[in-house]
Amino acid sequence: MIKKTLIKFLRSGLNTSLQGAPINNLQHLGITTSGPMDNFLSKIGNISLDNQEETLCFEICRLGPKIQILEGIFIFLISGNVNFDIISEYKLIKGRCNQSYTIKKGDKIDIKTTINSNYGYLIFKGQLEDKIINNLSSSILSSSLGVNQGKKILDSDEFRLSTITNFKKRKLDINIQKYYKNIIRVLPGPQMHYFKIKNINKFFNKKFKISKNSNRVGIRLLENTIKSTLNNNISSEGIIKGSIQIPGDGNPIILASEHPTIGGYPKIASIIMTDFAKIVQLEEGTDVFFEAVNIETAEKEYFKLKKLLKNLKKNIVYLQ
Amino acid sequence: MFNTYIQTSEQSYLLDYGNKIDINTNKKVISHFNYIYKKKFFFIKNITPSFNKILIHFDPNNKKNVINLINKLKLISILDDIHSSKHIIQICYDEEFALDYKKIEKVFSLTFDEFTIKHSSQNYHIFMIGFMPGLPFLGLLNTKKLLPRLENPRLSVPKGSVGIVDNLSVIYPNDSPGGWNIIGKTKFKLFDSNKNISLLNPGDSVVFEIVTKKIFNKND
Repeated sequence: MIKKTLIKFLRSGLNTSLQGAPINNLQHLGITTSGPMDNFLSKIGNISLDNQEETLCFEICRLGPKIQILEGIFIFLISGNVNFDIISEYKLIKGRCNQSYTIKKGDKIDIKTTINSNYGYLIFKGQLEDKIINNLSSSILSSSLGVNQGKKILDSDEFRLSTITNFKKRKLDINIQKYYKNIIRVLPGPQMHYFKIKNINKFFNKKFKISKNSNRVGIRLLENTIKSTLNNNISSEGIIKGSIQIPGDGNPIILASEHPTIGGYPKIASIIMTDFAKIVQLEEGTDVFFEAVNIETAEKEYFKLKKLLKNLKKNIVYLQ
Repeated sequence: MFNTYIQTSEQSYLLDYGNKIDINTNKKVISHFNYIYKKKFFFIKNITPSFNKILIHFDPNNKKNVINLINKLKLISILDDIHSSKHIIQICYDEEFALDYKKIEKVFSLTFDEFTIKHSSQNYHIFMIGFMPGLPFLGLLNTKKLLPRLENPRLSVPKGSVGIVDNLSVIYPNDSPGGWNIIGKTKFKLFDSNKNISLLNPGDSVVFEIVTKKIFNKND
């Protein structure tokens, strides 16, 4: 049975946005891929609720939103390490991540902060009304394009959605922490030869710190400057998420979900796809190290993760 | 037709068509881009042409298909298949919009009026669209002197500004930070955000048509 639900953001949060599948086949027009910063969390959350892996969800960045249900019921799960409460008829319930909740008209979700991480995901059952969705699959906040016209969620925003009511309460039995660490595996970048061996060794042997100037466009690193010896610029070329650019000041920039489509800085390395979700979760001021791997390892890790997601449903425990 | 290629990650290959930034090299890039794009291969996520390279972003599940495609591309030269539309873009070079006209006069040893005649009396090839939605890279300005980037990039360059660096021109589709020398402004719509399409495409050509400030302001 399908019912209608209306939710209202009483508080928008720091940088809450709707993210789904990456946007493909438009990079040649300057349109970036976008999508969730931590697509491991968004995928496991969606799988837990029997959604398609890349169904639209709300990405929460550090300070979360407060949401009230104005009509119908709302079935949701929070994926990540997030501190949140559910307020229902004057009762306050401490929320648990990776567990589903069904709440009704008048109830509220107060998502306070992410814990030891930057991003969490509010995954829900049901489909958003058409005017929010367009032919792009995610929001691009940096160019105001895509889902919800590329806007971040604002105070008082309301969203209408259909909700499926026959749903079994559940939790995902998984230790998420074991998938996260601050040693990030990388492949050699297309311009690694722009750097002297001494600088390449410094890149791998000395720690960096995550800068506060990190966002959905790029993650900036500090305290270990790497200078290019050949040139600070290259002829601009196509770039992908996870590439590590070295601009003239020597402080690396990791291209994130909303990266520009072409770039003119030499790229010393590229983060393997499975480790991108790890680096986006490292908070400002955290130490980070890079470890060199080869393409075979990167491919092996990609298929390992794919298998884990395929078998994830085995970890769902149904609750009374 | 390309010189070399490398696998840059588990999901990307970079094809290199030569070191030069020139129209002939770029035409090779665009002919291959058009070929791949039109085929709409299921295993390709994105294909990004630039001055002298193509980045193929693919699904690692289908690496064999990508290798087969690259091997096929080695043998194909389809230069006559470039779809090329010609666009006339009105530009106003008034000093109000040409924020860097003094620098232009100095570097090129011309009055700004002489420079505007030079800039508007040639065809430009669109090498690529990118960095941000709809931003075209146009070239090559017929000059021996190369204009360097601004030492201190502006925090905000107005939408529609036309900028030059070296012998390339760009048009800013939106207000944004930028380090290009600004020589004028256009009202040409570069990007349709309702349809998510760029009105210009790689390989097209552009001619700038001078309009006075009076006409420019009238065209609102």
